[in-house]
Amino acid sequence: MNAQVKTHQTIEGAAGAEKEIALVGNPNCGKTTIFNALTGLRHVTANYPGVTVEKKTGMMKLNRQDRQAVVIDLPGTYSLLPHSPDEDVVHDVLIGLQAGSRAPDLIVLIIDAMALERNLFLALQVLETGIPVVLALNMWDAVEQNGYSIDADRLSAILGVRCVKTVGNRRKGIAELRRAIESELDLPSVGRFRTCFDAKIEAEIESIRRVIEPFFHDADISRGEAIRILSDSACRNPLLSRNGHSALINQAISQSRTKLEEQGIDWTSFEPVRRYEQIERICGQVVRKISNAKTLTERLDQILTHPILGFLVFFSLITLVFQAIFTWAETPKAWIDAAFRFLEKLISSHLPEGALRSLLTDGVLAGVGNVVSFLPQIFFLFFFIAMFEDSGYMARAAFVLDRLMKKVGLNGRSFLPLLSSFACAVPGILSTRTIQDRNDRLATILVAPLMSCSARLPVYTLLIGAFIPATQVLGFVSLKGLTLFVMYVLGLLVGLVAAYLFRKTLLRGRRAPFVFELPPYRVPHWRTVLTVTWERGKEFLYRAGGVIFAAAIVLWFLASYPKSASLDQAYEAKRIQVQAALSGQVLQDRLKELHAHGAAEAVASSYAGRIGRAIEPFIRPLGFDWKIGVGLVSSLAAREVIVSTLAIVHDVGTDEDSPANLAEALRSEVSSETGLPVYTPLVALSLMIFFVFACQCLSTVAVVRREMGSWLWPGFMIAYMTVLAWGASFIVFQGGKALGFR
Amino acid sequence: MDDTEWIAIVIVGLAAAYLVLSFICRKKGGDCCSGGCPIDPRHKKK
Repeated sequence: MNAQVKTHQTIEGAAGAEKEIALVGNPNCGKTTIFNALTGLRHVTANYPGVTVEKKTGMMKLNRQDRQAVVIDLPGTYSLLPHSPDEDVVHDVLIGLQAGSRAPDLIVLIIDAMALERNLFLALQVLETGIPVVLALNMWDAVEQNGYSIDADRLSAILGVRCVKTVGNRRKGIAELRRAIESELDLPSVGRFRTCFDAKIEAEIESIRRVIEPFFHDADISRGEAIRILSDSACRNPLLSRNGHSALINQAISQSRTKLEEQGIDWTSFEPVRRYEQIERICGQVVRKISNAKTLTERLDQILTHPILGFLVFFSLITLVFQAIFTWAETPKAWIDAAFRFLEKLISSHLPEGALRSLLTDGVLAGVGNVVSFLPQIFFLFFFIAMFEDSGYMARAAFVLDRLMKKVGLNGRSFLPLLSSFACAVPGILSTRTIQDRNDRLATILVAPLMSCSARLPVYTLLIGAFIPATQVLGFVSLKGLTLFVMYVLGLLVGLVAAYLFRKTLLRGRRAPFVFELPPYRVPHWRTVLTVTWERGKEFLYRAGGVIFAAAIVLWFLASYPKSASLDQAYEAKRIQVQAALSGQVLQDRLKELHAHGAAEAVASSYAGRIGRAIEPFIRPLGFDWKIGVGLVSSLAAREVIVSTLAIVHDVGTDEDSPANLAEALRSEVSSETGLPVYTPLVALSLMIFFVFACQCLSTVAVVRREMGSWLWPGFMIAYMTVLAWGASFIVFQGGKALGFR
Repeated sequence: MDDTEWIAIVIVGLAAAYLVLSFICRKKGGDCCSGGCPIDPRHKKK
């Protein structure tokens, strides 16, 4: 092999004399190994102006012509319709729109032979650039190992290009590839495969092609570009920003899209739909299964993607995750609790009694500490999700649930936004941008906040920890873990039912297609898993340090003011009276009782108490008292603030007379009127159900407003979720009471 | 009013201002999860 390395500047200087060969392919298809094999394992890098993406260039000597060729290794891309800056580079270089560069003389299209279907999408687009192409079927050994055969000659005949089988990392087929490159440069293949669309679409492609024709030397290139410009909703094409031409092109695009819409054609998806139809036909002709021996991935997929077994495994795994959250997170949670109590004691011993001490201990530490103590649960949840994602299982879960989602009229693309919403609805809603159909997207946005986000986890775990008995169901499933699982599943199921109803009523329309690739299984990479877990958990910590911290301070003020001098005096008098009359344990018990009554009355007469009492009539039928009412109002800032609020209004702190923790405070709260416990398992269940369905998140509302461009849909979302939350809690509480539960 | 009460009230005022500003920021779409928060520079645009 005759190879040498030159700098990019040298190459550009000699560009007129030397042939340029671009290596193009999907990410991780083995481009760089082929590049190294062709150029002699040495390369230099050069940046295109304006982007930070690197391309590698090297030199390859062409034997027969005794000339050199520049080999350019371009970034990996799945499509010539770019979505990111590195994909822009590939597109612009191949189309000849890259400033200071010309279109290459030949493209070596590298295909991962084991992922022929996916790789052929880019291949069909590249074939339409008009540039001579040599196809390298790389990783050929994996095809045989996995019991498949690909008829390379037949593929070559169908596509109208030279095909070479290669195994880049073993340098197999490289000599054949070099010969094919030279032959193609000498005598380019003819009769290329071309994707033809419906006549109505072809007419619009042609009308746009005529407008952009002056920019291209080749009709094939301008046609391919017209297809992309027509279907590119993101409008990334550089032609659209060229002065003096953009208005004309935009006008043509707009007219063509309107015409297609009028004819009921989705201009965003016609290209992938048609190309994948053809890819399916091509693969049907060239790919054969020659061995019945199954790979590990295939064997696992027989179970994990099975319509029934797949569901069972999915739900079993999720149940296990929730069990683990409760059992494994207990110890670190206790450490965090202990750290906050230590801090409280430290402040109490160094600051004199007064407003500032109360603010720091009863407000900040009680409020923030009670929320932060749920951090281990959140980390465990994200850890398991990251494990599922990195192992390849999450794609199977998406596949299994896709069947369910199709049944309720949602697009398969809705799975990832809904999955993201289990962490936070805001990124979930933003990721619905990948859903092309507006009605699909809107239905997904409307139900995304029903997925239980990480902010709900502290509320669930507090109430479950305090009120759900630590018993086992079926002898091995913890009732606490099961209850948590039910809360998550309830949000998901009601979300799917709601989506079905929306798609049948408000958001009627056809379903968009969805293409799905299942990656092979692999052992999760620990660094990836830990990084993802940390990044997601960090968001929760930021919230605790920002909104929750500020809300705890404001809530402390609302729960402590206005101060009533007469109330203080009355309780002080009672305290003196009791101390004079009693002694020993009886005195301590009586003082504790007095303190609780005094604190309750002080909070009841505070601003927070007044707000809570004002909304109490509306929430009383759900079993909630005014203290929960204050929590519901404050949870609009962030859902988990209700935990801080309950800690503040229940006077959880280091005071000797204060309850040791919030769960104990809730359990021991007794009604002064009836003498019965205020909070019961039934009230806890009703409150959790309310939190599953209520839209108490201003961030979510704000982001829906921005994505939809009006207040109509966020307004509708708040209304339907509030009605759903109130109705479900009412049924649970009143129904439970009627059945004799407490 | 005890000696430390005014400090507590100032802190409450700052916290309330933070909440109001972050609400305005979210209304303008500056949520930490989406477009970068103008109040908290740690929340860079993703």
